[in-house]
Amino acid sequence: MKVNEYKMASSIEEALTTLATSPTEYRMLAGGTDVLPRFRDNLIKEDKILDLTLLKAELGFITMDETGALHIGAMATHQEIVENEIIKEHFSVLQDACRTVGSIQIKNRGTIGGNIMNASPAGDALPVLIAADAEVILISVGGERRMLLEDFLLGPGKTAIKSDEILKEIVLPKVYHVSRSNVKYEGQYRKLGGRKALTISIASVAVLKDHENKIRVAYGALSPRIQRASAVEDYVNSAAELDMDSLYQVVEKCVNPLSDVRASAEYRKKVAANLTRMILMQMRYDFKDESGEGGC
Amino acid sequence: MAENKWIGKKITRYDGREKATGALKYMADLEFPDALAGKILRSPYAHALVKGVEIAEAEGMLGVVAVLTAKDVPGLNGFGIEGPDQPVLCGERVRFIGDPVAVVFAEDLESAENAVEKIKVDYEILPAILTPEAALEEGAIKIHEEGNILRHHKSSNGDVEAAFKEAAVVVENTYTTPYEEHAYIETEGGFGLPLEDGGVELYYPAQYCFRDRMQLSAVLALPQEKIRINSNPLGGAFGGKDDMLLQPILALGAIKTGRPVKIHLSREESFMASTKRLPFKLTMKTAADKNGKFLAHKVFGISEAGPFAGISGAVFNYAFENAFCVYKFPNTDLEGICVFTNNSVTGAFRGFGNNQMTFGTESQVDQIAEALGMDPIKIRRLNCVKGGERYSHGHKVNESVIGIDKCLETMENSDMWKQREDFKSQTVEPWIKRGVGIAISQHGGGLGNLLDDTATAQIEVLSSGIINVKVSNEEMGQGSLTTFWLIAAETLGVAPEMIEISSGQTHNAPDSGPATASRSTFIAGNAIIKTAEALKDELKVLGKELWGTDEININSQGIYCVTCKTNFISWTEISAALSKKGIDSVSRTVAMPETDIKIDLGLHFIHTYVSQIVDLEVNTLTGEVTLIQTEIFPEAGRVINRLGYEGQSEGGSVMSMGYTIMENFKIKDGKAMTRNLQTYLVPTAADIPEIKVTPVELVEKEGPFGAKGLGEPASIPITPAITNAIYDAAGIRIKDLPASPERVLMELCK
Amino acid sequence: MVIKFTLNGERVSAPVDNNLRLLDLLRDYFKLTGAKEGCGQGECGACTVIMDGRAVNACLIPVRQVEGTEVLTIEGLEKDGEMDIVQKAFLKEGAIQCGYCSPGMIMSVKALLMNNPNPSRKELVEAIAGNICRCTGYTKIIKAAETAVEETCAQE
Repeated sequence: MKVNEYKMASSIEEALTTLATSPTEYRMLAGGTDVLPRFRDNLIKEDKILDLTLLKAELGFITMDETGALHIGAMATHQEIVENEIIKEHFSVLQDACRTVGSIQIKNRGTIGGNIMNASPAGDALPVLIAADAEVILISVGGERRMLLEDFLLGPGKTAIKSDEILKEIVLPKVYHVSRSNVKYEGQYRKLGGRKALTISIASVAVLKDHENKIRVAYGALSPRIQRASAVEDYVNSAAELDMDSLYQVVEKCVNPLSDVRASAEYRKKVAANLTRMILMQMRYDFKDESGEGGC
Repeated sequence: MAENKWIGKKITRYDGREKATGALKYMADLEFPDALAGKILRSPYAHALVKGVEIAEAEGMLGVVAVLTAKDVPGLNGFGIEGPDQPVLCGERVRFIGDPVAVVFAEDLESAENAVEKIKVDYEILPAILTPEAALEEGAIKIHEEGNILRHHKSSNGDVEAAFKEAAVVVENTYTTPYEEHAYIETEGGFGLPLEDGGVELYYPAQYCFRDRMQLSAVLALPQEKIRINSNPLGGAFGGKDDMLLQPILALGAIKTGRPVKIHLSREESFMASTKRLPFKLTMKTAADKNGKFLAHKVFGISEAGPFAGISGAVFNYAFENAFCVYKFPNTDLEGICVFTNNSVTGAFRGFGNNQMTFGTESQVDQIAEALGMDPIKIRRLNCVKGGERYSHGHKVNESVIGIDKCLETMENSDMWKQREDFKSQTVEPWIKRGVGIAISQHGGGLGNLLDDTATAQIEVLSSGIINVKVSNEEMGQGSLTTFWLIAAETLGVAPEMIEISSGQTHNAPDSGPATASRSTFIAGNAIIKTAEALKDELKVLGKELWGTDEININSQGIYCVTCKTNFISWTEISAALSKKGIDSVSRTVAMPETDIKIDLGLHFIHTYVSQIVDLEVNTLTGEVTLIQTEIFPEAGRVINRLGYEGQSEGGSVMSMGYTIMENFKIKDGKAMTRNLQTYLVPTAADIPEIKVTPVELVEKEGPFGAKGLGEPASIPITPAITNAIYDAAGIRIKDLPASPERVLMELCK
Repeated sequence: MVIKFTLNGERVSAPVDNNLRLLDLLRDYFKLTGAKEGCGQGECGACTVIMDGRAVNACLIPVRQVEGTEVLTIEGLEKDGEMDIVQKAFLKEGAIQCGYCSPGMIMSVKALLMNNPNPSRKELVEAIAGNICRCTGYTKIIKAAETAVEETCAQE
């Protein structure tokens, strides 16, 4: 870690002004759980840091507006999301996802904004947010803009952020609220790792049911970009009865995994389909053929 | 059994408070004034000649005090447990990715790191041997002058081929086990300090200070008396701190710079440079008659020593010593080869080859049982060596060999075994399959009879009245300090608070041998007892001199005359009285009991036995294996330190659970692809089953208070118990470790 | 550059440079070596301390973020020579072997009990899942945490 300048932004305004003046010089830092290991591995090209910790006061919020949309500030930590009563009531599947991030020590510092800006294909909160059509709000001295998270994430480590912007908040429209207490809606996030805790995702699936009883699906760690798995959604939402072979076919259309030190592409594809099936069966979808016996 | 005051009880450990408060300083926590920071330049190539090393630019950099290379080694530029084939700093050839070529000592770590980057090494890349098969090919490059074969064992008894022909069942399989990384939480690190007499002192976590001192004497061309080593506490070792790693470089740095020097490895550097468990490929063919009696066992195995002999030859030997587990095989055929490669350095790792071999053997036994429709516990009881019988290598073993049958019997009568069908029926989701598996193991304590295996203990009564017990065996977490403490207290008849243990050093403790091979409790414990008895003899002599009688009682206050109770002297007075007579301390040496025959593999006499049940679930959609509960039945003689005994059983089980289902050290072209704890996964608290420890307590009459070793034995049977349980659950036979989710799912889909 | 914060109940200040982590500050400047560097990337938890009431990896906290916070380390648990309930429980249950992970492990349990005095077993496991122990197999650590919960409830 070779940092030559370290600036603590004391307000959003100060942060934005700094970026407006020197748009490409600063590496932004919030919780530090992704940035510090990258510094240690010499993967950061900037030598100046813009620390956003003090923006917690302005950007740490978790609220619901009168239309029922959820607003989560970029500086809300994973653990704050896990502990939050509003999210528990209206979108608990996001808590299920954030709960799987690293460890409690990581969750106490890592922010949802950081998870998005790190743009790892394996980011744990991302599939749930994308399945729910989450939007991001970006701000700069020039004002605000808003776009779908799915369009914002461009690939591993790449987002559509402009060099003078910071991520301000995530918005979840009401129609995609799902929670355990509300029996009409259902949602599940399943993560497969090499062990049961403190592990980076090998494959993950988010399946949400919306107010029209249609499912929305997104996969994690299975493609360079996390996107809505429309082929899977179309199939499940239109088929009178599901069968495993067809499900596997549409899942394969929606994922493009790599082989790496954690797992092979072939295993990831199989597991993606199997995790989808597992969730659908738990959501009481019926499968035509021998359900639950073997996942090949 | 006699009722003891301290032995067998739950006692707060000797070094507990300082560990619980964070007060204990491990080696890299220490501070010495004017210390320099060291950084090593390591080879990026698996195999290459070193044509030249340019250090001029590095030497001139800010803060740099010394840049050392091979030419700076004053004595022998080599070390190694079996022979000095591992260079301190490579001047001619590098043999693995990580082999040290130079070291920079500077005022701070950043300066040292900057300087390392400016050292220019001219390498001529050589073909690298990256598989054991490549090491044996005609015309393969020789990693060492003598060739690429470190060990080749061949032995047989009877006629296996004839036995295979008449057998009712023959099972043949090939099993592979990967490298394993110790992943102790404390990475290697410590200090070298120059001494005024031209000698050197080390503060460095290691498992045998006396052997390190001997090797350093040759490297530094210094007499041993000028080398002082402090080797404990250790933050975990598991065999990984047995071979030397940084000691020669730290000693060299201290001598050459005249200042204290410090190196503390990052996790990545520890992964790269330190030893790993030997990987094995074992082809086994096993036969039995229609009643389940074993007829024959044939094993062909190949393993890697990595680039240096180290202790790998001994690991290989020990694997083959354990080829028959504790079964009677009338016909046997063993062949094994251990070769040099340019992959990771291999060495000692808890279990020492036994885990790998027993994984294969216990999988074979289960398959034979299945083929014959026999109960897996009954077939094992049928075939285990009984009291008075010899092992299948032909040698005599301890009478407590009946322990294995007691373990099996206890397991058979346990609730966990009796309720196994109940356990299996309790799944809800159709893709979760439950299974139950068992396995046994046996493990010889001590170094085996090819080596001298002795331990010396020493006791000094200090003028403060404290009784100072000295053994060099290092405390690495296994609880040896506590065990020695309780043994000394019990033998002398004083409260443990009266006893202070000196260990982990060459200057104030006698040579008790290495803290390895599950020997510390047994042999150092025996040495302490013998020495304590010798002290008691001296106290009796004192009694005679003072009061005319040798009938004395000993307690925490001192000694007093039995018949004339008012006659009493305190420990402080005893210290003075003994010193006056020229007896500064009492010391005795004991040897490990040996068996009666010798073969090239080395053989053990005292064995610990363990059986284990595992109840688990297999998720047939993801391949995940989840252990729900396990019960371990160790027969390790008497329990001395109850919390320690359970701790070893639980810790050994979880460590080897990791080896079996998640630890996957991947190496490609000689380079570790799993380079740290992010990609090399060890178990977390979320991964563990409920663990029940059921000691099967027999008295081993040769052992201190009837005890035997447990550190390694507790880590062995869980591996085949897990893979046997996976078969029970999902009908797939895992023969290649680890049984990761990917491997399990792929096997299910075949 | 000087930062000011509260360390083990005391107001302190320390000179820092931009490249330091909280772990470096604790070990090298304050000589509090209880927190250990086991991996440098938040994968082992040996550096766990409590910051503003929450367990964190000190190897991942840039020193500038420590300004104005309350930091509690293992050295701060003992009060007048009396060990904390969690420390006593660890000793009673034999939850310490080599001891290298113990400071971090104890702080993780302490942090949990500070926020949740009656956690479920699931919550206990979650609290320590980020602390790797290679020696104990965690069984006695969980037992020690349960004992600490009992003793804490008994006290109240």
